[in-house]
Amino acid sequence: MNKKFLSVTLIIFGILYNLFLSLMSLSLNYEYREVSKIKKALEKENKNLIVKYSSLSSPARIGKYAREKLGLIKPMEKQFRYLKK
Amino acid sequence: VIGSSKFRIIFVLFFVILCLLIIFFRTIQVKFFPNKKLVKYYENQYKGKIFTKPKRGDIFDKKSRPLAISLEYKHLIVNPSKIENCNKVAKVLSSELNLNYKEVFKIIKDKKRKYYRLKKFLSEKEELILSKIVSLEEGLYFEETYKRNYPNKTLASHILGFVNHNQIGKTGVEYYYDNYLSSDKKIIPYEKDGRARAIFSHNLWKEDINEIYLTIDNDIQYRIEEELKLTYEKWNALSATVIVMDPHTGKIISLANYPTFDPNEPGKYSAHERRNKAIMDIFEPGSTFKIITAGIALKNKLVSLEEEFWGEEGRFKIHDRVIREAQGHDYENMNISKIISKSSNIGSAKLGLRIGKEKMYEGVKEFGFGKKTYIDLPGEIKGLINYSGRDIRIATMSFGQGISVTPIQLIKAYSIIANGGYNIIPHVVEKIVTSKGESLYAMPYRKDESIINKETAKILSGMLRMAVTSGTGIATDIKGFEVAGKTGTAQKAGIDGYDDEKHVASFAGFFPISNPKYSILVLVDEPKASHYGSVVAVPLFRKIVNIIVQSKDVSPIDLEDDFKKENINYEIKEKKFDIKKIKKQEGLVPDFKGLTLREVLTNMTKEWEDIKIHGMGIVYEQKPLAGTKLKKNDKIELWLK
Repeated sequence: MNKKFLSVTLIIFGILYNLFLSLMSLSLNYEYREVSKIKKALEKENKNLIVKYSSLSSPARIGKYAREKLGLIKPMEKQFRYLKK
Repeated sequence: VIGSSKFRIIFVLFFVILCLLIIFFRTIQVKFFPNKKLVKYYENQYKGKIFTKPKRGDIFDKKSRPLAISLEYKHLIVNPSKIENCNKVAKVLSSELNLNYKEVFKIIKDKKRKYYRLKKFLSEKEELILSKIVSLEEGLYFEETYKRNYPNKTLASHILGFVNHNQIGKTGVEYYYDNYLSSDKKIIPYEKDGRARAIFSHNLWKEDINEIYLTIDNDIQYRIEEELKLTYEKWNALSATVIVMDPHTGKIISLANYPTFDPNEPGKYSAHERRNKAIMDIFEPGSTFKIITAGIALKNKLVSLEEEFWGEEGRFKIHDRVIREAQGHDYENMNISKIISKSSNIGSAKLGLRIGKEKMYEGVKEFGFGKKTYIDLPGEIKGLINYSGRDIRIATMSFGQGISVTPIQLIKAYSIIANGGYNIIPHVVEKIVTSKGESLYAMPYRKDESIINKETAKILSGMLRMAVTSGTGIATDIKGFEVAGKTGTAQKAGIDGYDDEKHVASFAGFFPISNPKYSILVLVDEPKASHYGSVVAVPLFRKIVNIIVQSKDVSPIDLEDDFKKENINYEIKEKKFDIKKIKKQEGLVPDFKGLTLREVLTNMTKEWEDIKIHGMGIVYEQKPLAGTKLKKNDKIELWLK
């Protein structure tokens, strides 16, 4: 009687544990899905920022800013003195 | 018996077993003999598919700065058949998206339509506002898409190329490496839960795309493009091209054409502006080709360095045709070095005739003319070689007439001379990196195939150096970065022969001569006001050398190097002008004829400060004449070429 009861209990416990694992896996899956969504959104934002940064730091923009806003001019060739290493 | 408990037990048992059997057989039927209708119903309810849009890999310069990036955008899609309150939706959408209400209403009211892109490429702000409306209103949804973005606009546009609206490369690296850059449209299946949420979707957003790294440097490319534009505008040219290459590896450090275009909006520009003239256009190289003729002659040991050729008093007759020197020069006797430094047409023609048609064609092909260089850019052409074999054709080809080459072919040939004589493959892609960080591809360059031997290459380099120090390329020379090169001024051929009004001015060279690191070609097509390579192309070449020296790790050197130690006799021994002697004759106008611009400027005294200079190169005319008394307020004018 004890053996039979133990076997049935173990089987029921096994089934319940399996069910618990499945539910956990499902729950983690939902969590993963949400995190992936956030990751994707962040990646998108990151790319947008890279483009924005590249546009702002492009040599053409910096050159224009230096000339028009700061009144800088390009150095003359004579202003350079090349040194030997 | 019927009412007995035993019967009831048997009946219930029988009923249960029957039910179980029915379920069992139904299960077998559903599993092994499925009903299509039921399967479809199940799949609609429990399975889903995600259609991923094809994404493109990004392109970077050699310092990992982005040149082309794909950004994710959303389109707003309308399904009018599902929209109930057309008036309300049209009002909201037209106000939020700044669209015409009547037009939006007309679209939404058309219930036959199930798909309409109301607004493409929504901004972040629009997307945020619309996301609330889309979640509440049936018949409105977003569609994901990608758009190529070139943050530096026109920078390196002829290398990068552009993509069409389907994100497929159309020109440049975008086209040539489309297979590496583009990813396939994927369909990812998944299972749904009771609330239609995706489960077991671990690989849903996994992307496997490659990134491309180019050999160019953004900063150098920009500064060269800037100077190229100034030259183009100064000379009101048809177009202008610059190529900078590492002569040892074939890596393109910069490639620029002007006019240019913005790959973000390629449709706004003409085919002329979008055309990569560095590889797609041909031109007659003129004097820049003379060094190739000299190279072929030396390679085949058909001429010695000491042998002199008679200048034919400036008129060399071949059958019924006459070859003349430029500007009516007469160089009398000249050795091969003088032929190059003085850019003699007659000397080159005589070399060409000595070489003969078979060896000439063979040599020209070996230097890479008449065939593709196989640069990793689309649309490259082979150029044109006239194979008629007539003496006059060989003679004119020897000084760069009657042969058409692409700029990339010419710079490759100069690179062969610079690197010691071995063949190279020009390329713009440094490496392709996978999403896992593995380097997928590295462009090979041929080092084993020798075109000319090292000694011949050194001699030719020396001749090009002489062309700079005592020829038309004097203004390219920067102390410590000894430049070797050759100017070219070629008439353009029209329907009725050569056009006196249309020219191509060029300068091809490399530096520093002892260990060349950069080979450079400058080409200005149809410049106005002046057409000489020494006047139009040389100043730009000098600026480019300065840009490279200021940006790269190049330090100045003395010419006490291997090149001189090998004691290769290429120097032309000529009677030099004694400027000091003239200086002593105070009050008299000195004789400037034959002096280079540098010699004039470095020996200038206070008396000559008001000197006015026209052109570049060597003084050929002056005013007032030499020996006349210099009066007060008199200005000396010099004409150089």
